[in-house]
Amino acid sequence: MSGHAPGGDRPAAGVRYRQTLGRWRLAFRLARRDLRRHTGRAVLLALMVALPVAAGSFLVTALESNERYAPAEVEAELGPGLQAKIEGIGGPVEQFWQPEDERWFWNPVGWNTYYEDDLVTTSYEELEQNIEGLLPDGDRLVRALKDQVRLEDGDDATMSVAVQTDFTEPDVAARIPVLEGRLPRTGEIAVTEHHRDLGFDLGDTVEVMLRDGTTTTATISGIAPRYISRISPVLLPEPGPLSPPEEVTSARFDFPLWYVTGHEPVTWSDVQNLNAVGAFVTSKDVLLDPPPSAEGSGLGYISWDSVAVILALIVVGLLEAIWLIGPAFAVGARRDTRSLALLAVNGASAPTLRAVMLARGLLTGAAGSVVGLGLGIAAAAVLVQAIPDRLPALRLPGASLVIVLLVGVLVAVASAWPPARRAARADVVTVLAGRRPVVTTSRRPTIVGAAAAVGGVVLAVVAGTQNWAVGLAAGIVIADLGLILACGGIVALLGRVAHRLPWTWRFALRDAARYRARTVPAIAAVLVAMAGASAALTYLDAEEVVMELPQYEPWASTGTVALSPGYGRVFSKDESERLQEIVDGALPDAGPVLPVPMALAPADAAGDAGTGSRQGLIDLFVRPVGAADSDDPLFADLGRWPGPVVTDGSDLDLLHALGIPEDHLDQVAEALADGRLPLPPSYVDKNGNARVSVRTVFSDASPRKEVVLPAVAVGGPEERLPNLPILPEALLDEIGAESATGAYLIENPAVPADEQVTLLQARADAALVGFDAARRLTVEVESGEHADSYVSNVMGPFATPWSGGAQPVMGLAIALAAVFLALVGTWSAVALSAVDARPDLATLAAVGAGPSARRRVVAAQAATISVIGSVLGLVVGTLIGVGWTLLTSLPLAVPWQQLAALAIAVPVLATVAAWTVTSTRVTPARRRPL
Amino acid sequence: MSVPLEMKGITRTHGHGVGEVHALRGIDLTVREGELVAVMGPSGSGKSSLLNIAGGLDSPTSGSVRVAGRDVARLGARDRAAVRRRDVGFVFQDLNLVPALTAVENVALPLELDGVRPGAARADAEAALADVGLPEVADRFPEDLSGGQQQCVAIARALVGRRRLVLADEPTGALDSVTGESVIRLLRARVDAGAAGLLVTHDARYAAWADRTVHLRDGLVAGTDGGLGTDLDELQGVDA
Repeated sequence: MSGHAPGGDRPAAGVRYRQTLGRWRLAFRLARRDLRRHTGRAVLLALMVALPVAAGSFLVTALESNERYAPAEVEAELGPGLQAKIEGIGGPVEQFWQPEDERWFWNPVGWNTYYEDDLVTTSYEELEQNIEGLLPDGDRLVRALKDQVRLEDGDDATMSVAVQTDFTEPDVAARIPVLEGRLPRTGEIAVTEHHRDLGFDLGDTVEVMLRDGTTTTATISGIAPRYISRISPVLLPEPGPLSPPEEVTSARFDFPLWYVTGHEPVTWSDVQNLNAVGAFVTSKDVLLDPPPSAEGSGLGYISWDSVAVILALIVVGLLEAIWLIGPAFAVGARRDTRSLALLAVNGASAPTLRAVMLARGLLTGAAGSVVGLGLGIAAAAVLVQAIPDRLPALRLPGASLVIVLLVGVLVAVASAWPPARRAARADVVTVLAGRRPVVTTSRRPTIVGAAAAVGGVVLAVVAGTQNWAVGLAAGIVIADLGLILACGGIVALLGRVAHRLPWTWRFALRDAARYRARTVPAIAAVLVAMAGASAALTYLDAEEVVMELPQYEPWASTGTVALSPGYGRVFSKDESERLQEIVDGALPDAGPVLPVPMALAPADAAGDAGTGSRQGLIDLFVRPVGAADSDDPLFADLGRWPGPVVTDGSDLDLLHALGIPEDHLDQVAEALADGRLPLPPSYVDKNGNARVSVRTVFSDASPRKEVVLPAVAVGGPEERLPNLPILPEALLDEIGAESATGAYLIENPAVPADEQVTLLQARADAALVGFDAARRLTVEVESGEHADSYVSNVMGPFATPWSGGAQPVMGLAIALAAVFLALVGTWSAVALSAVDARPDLATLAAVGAGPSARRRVVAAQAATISVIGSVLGLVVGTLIGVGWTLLTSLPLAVPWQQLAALAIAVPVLATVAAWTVTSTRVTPARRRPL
Repeated sequence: MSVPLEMKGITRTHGHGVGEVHALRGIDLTVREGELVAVMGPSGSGKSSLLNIAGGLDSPTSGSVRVAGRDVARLGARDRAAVRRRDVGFVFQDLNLVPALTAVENVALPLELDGVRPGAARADAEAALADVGLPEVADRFPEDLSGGQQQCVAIARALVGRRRLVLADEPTGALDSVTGESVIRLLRARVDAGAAGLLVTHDARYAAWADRTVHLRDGLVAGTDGGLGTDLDELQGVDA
């Protein structure tokens, strides 16, 4: 027996411990028995927990099973036989897997890539010996020398990376599949499909010029695929014209390469050892089975904004799950009110009663989570079977699965908490008397909730305007929780004002008010789903508006091609003539090559093209008349040009190519000839002057200089002419600048084909740039719209399509998901209420209600939940979406039609479906004591 | 040795203003060990209110309720729950047992909640079941028991361990007369064995098993008389 005095004396610690133990033992026993006794309810609850857990476990398992490099991709990288390829960086590195890019990268260790003084250099021979010494026993190194070469074949010329290696090595030969012909032997080369597009074809005899000017003649023996490890190389046999460099320096673009052949895998430990001597390794063994420690170590930066937003989304998602499951627990708790009261009669305290309900949540959650985990893993296993290329083997991420399992259990316990709290506070005497416990209608939660909802929305919108992501995330969560807190009050209010409605609506609203434990979570589930959908749709609509806006401002007339030497650089001499020949070959219909003079700071304008030329950039902008300094200045686009365009207006072709409309051409030319700035009207004051601010970029010694320059208004108030401000040559001295050719424009009657642009770039690079791969020309084509933008780098030209058009699909997916969740929430609550309402319906039938009465009641209940949830959710979600949109500086756009469709679709679907599936038969039911 | 139940000047008022209802108006009642007191009266006379206050399920508006010497009216919810675990047992008209627990688990419930080790609690519960003559139903669930058996199990639970006060609210209300009488006989026997009992009933036949009967009307004691087990000399001790 208990060793303490009865009543108020505090029991000894041991007794308290035994009491707690006894409480939980009893709680779990009751929960276990309850699951067995009410199998249907238990299965429903477990399933509701199981579904999100299944989704989570499926996701983490599929992600874990998703090879970073599927075997097919590994083979594309290393062929069937190579163990690894190694690039010599020159200094110690740490290599890591970057999940976002799905690639391996390296970081320097103990040296810096940014400052030339800190770059490291190693002897090639020494590096090769070090690498060889660290290879697993039995593996061998095969040199692959890389350098820039110039290929020439009559009219055709291009610069290209060349890879010279021993193709008699079977593993190396197998690594490069030749589409036509064969791999090169002495006196031969192989090229890629990219080179064939440029005019170098199988059997052609070409001249291969090396960096030192040596030229050899070779025959093209084979055509390889367009990309080999992301480059389009010319393949040279060993021995060949390339020699190993004396030194390997980290400043180079083309790092020396080795292939590793043999039977021993290059393990992660080998890779780390090789990293230490300055080698970046692509190992088959590591690609297929990457070490967890390698992931993401390269970037230590965590954006708290992203973390806040992700946390907010997780919180809202978990709340959604809790609200969906909550009603089922609430109904279970109410049906067991009498049992709980009996426990109280026999001395169970409030914590004991709570424990009974929480244990039920814990057991159901555990059972549901285990089932969900099994389902998720099974689904992932099916997926692995279905797409073995991407998911070669089922891998179980132990820690992640445990977390998913625990989250599932926690969600179930959290769902059981409100009914547990209510059960612990129920008036035992009332329950034992067979009456419903009095529902206390404190206004405080409603007031606090409403205040929190308003505050959260205001916080989200203000945070949006202030570009404060953490505030936005906090606002979302606070608004969400506030509304849910206020839901009970709203439902109670509707219950009170229902007396004027037809009896079905009166019944539904009062039922909702009486059984708030069941109704409020269901409304909350609808609310959260709709709020999430409306916020996302509002944001997506803003994004779509941005894409659809006629905001694209052409920088030249359509079809015009611009050739420039890259950011901040100018051409060192007039290349018009040489370019004209190339253009004539590549773009037969094009007009003359037009040099575009740019204003640059004098110190650098005369220098060699590009050398330190960023110091020469002139940042020039014109302030609108009568506006604050920060308001909408008109500025030269230094991203495209190295400075503002400068001309005396005599070259009308140039002005036309720069996109000046025909009807303004003469006016602009005249202004430039007069030494006046042609500007939009809002930038020209009544005296014909403009306030211009000039600064030399990257120069501390050159503060911003304010000058007033003569100007002429061109075009209407809303008209934006491209490339303004264009500087009249006569004003160069005024701003202390000189001019240099910053680009060449070629007017073409139509947008050139991709092949033409590729050819133009290859030939121009070969003619103007030569072996300096870092200075490849930038080729841009004005297509008149958001189109493919052509960029150039060491890997050769490729196109990046404008990524638009996904919004409608994503919007539809979000809307469908929201509708699904809202309907699940509504229907589960309606189904549960149908059980509660059975005696009431029997009574209604007894007093003469027709067969459709049951349907009408159920439909009205579905409508009540879905309408309240949808309206509140849409209002709050839209406001949050506005905040989100403001945060991302997108223009505000509310998708009224889509939101209206949601507002109508969810209640209509919920109501019609509830009506349709409800049986008209009324089962006689006994009113059992509570 | 303290008196199992001693109520003095108990009033209970529900609501306020025009809706004010006086359920009990200054009731004095003592139940001693070995004594079974019946409470009779029409509906709304305050019988159940009296019982609930006696067991600490409800609090009086005024007055004191001493159970085993402690004034439960002054105790908090937690301590009143402790009193119900250790000193008082309830028996209701029906649905007395927790459906998810077996008979022996139902009986052991107050002990387990009080921190008694499961083995000891079960032993005490089995003993209590044996005392009411139902050792064979220990592992059956309530739904497998007859109404009479359920009430007997409830009596066993009410007196398990050291509990000596049974508060029975119409324990025979849902039973046929034969079964009802056997239940009352059992209650009487347990009281004769040393417990104290307060029995609320409508039925004079069952009240006759009590040592004395207190008649309530409109929250007041309207009268007291003896029963089959009443020693008439003890009538002097009736508080009214």
